[in-house]
Amino acid sequence: MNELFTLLNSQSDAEMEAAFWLGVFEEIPDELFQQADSQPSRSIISALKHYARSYVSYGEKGIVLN
Amino acid sequence: MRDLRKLTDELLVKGYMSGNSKCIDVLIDRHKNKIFTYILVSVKNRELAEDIFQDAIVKVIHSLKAGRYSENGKFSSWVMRIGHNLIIDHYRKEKHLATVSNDNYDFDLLNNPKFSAGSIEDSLVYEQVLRDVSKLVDLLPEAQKKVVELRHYKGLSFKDIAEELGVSINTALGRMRYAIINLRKIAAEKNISLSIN
Repeated sequence: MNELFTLLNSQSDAEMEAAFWLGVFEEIPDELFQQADSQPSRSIISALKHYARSYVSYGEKGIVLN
Repeated sequence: MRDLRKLTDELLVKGYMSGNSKCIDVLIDRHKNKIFTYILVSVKNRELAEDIFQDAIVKVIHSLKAGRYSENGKFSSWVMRIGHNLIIDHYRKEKHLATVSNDNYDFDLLNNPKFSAGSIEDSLVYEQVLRDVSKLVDLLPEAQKKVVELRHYKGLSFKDIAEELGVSINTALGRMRYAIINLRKIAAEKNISLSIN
């Protein structure tokens, strides 16, 4: 029922669409996307991995990177 | 790295949380297509999808390093929900709506504690909304009503619904979408509030 309430409480059709697709994607096995055509660009992936590797913490001093 | 690829998501998450940074590379490679495709399908704009995708992964990194991840379902679902909240934030900012931000992944729309616990008043409101929704579902065309019942009252997957009704998955999905659109329309016409917040 929670999924139905999320859908019905959406404040716009766009939000409803996103909630709808979330429910659908949660059902699809992860493995099916290994060879998917739609992928984020390589530069983004590379930047994110670099960020993840160098990330130490986030706190009073802001984001601390190695 | 090759050995890491054989590990489960849970072990990779634990590995990254305890300092093995290579584990996050494997997790990103394993799930990037699904997360990105979900965001792209929802927002229908590649540039925007890439921005939201980046923000989602950055939040994942912050959460993992802060120890805010607990094994409660699939890793990919958790990341998609973070992406979903960012999508909602984007739409609400775009419309300049004065709403509570979802930019806080500790609050999960799909696991809203108000659905499970809360004051007596919350429970009464929830029960009233439940009754209202049931009445609205009764007003749907039979085919759409059936899909809503199987999905939200019996908890069936779209695959199982398609099999049960002898239709394609696309048809089941289409009926569900129209059902939600109609439910919201009927609620608006009848001036029924479906909000639990």
